[in-house]
This record gives sequence, C-alpha cells and structure tokens, in this order.
Amino acid sequence: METEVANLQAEIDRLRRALGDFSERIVCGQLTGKLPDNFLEQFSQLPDRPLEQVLRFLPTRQVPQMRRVSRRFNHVIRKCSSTMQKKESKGSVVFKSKHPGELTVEWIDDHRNKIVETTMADDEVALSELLRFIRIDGIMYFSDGLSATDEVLDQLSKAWLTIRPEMVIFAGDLSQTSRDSLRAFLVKVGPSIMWLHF
Amino acid sequence: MIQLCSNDDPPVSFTVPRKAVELSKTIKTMLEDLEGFDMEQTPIPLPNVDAPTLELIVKWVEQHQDDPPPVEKPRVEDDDSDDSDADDDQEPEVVIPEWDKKFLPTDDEQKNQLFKLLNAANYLEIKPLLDIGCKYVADKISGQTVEWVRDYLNMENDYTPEEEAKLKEEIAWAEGL
Repeated sequence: METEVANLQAEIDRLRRALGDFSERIVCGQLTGKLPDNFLEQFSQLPDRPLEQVLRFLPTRQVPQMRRVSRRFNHVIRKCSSTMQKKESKGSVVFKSKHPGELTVEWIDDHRNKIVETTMADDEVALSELLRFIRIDGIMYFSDGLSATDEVLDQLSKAWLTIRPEMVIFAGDLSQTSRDSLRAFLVKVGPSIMWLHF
Repeated sequence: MIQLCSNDDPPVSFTVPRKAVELSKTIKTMLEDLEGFDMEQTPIPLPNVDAPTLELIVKWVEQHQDDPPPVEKPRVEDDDSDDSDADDDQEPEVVIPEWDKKFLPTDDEQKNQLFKLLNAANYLEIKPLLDIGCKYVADKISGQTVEWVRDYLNMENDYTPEEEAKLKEEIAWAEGL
C-alpha cells in the first residue's frame, strides 16, 4: 500500500514537472525561448539511461576499460555494472597470499590458460570490482598463505549471488580466519557446491 | 489522429495515428491522464524534440505501429551493493531489423542527429527505438580504444593524468578478459 502511494506520488510529481515544462514554454500555442543550436547534439549531454544501455551492449571485457573515457562513464559503470552481463567461466579462481597483506587472484579457464592475474593490496581488497564482471562457475582454490582472510571471505559472501563454484578448496593457512566469516561463507556456498576440501 | 509539435520557433507539427504515437510511453500515459479531453484538437508540444528529430520519430512509430508489444521486464535499480539480485543478468539479444538499419542516421556527419534521436527516444520512452539506437552505438564502439571512443562520442577526458594512471592500474586485470 505504502509503495503504491509512493508510486502515485512520484507519478503526480512527474506529471506536474512535465506540465510545468510545457506551460513555461507555450504562450498561445507558440514556443517561447529558443534552445541553443547545439542543444543535446552531443553524446555527453544525454541522460544516464541511454549511456547505460550502450554499455550493456558492449562485450564484457571492454566495459571496465571504458571507465577511463570520462568521469561520467566511470560513474555510470560503477553504478550499474553489478547488474550487467558477466563473463562466464567454468574455470578456476586461485587466491594466493605470498606476502602478508597482499592477495593475488588468478583466473584460469577450462583449458588451463591463465586469463587474469591481479594482485591486490590488503587495504583495498577490490575483489568485488573483479566479480562485477566475472562469474565463476568452476573451482575456487585458496592456496598459499593467508589467502582466506576474513576480508576476502566477507567480500565473497557478499557477492555470492554471482559466483557459483562447484568446488571450494582451502589449502592455505586458516589460523587467522574467524569462525564467523568462515561460517557465513560456507552457508552461502552450501547450495551450489558439490565438493569442499580442507 | 494526434498532433505533435516540435520545439522549433515556429513549431512544426506532425499528425500521427494514435496507435503509432502510443508507442511512446510518455505520450501514452499523458493521453490516458487526459482522457475526456478532445486530444484530436489539441497539439502536444514536445519541448525536447526538434523538427528533424521529430520527423524521424514519426517515421519510426508509423513503421512500427503494428509490432507486437515488447515483453516488459522490471528494471532493477542498482544501489551499488553486491547483494542485489545480479543473478539474472542476461540481456535479451537486440537485433537491429533491416528497415531500422536503413532508418538510423548512421553517417558520421549525422552523428549528432543520432544522439538527438536517442535523447528523444529516451524522453518519449520508446524503448525498442532506444534499444536499437544504443545497440548501434555499442556495435560502433565495440572493440575500439578508449581514445577512439572519446573522439567518436565527443567526450572530453576530464581526468587528471595522475587519476587516469591510477585508474589504468586499477582496471589492468580486465585486459586479459
């Protein structure tokens, strides 16, 4: 009921604005005030929606790159990328931590080709950024060192809807991992997982 | 028949069958709200659309007035959290029909006309037209470099060199995708 009322209110506001738009510009059926010559002739002047729609049609691999085009592009991509189409993979993702506070993520496809390798610093474990564009369906492998830290597991738990691995392997050092983070992670994993190894 | 007026001075008006004009959700809603008024006699001014763009819009809606209505999919408003339902992220394939391919202003010197058309389709909420227009632009910039895209879309690089370098580093992982 409340949402209904809110929707109607929004609709009324929208109509009121539209009416204002019209009535300001019309005197006896004539438009007043001329728009500048190049009014809305530039892509950059378009509202967010067409821009977002263009980005949705781009190949997944190109979307993160497009953040460099301008601040506007960056803003729109960050805003809507988690609902954009993702690159699917039956491959594996390997988390390693060779040095404390550093996380290396490797993504390996079905044919054992390494597709992505990136190292993240502890202060900004930008995993969610990566998972915005990739859907992991294969194996998740936590190897060397403190690769399954609370920060990592928490981010994965949060992003779980978009990654459904078949197998999760913990081969690293879990001594620093809290039970809560591990439990939250495992609860999330439960439905999709077929094998779990410690 | 419904009359639509462009934003020019003097306005240029077009007479369009009601069925065609209702492909625009904006106008359809408006006509429904004004049920009871004689809308056949009342021109509808479109403050965001100039005559050449309106002519294109009219051409398009007349051509497509008998199309089956598109399947509505609720829009997921994203609030930048990762726990939204991002599972169902398959975009339906958009194919630009032959007629539309010829219709779209695709010459390079007509680029601004294309952008104006996208803006009008967005404002008038003509989703299928917005989709094919955006699809065309996406196909055009697909596989191109950042610099090329900026140039094609007349976008200015508003990053400082330091910011751009940092961003480049941040997204380096995606090069392998």
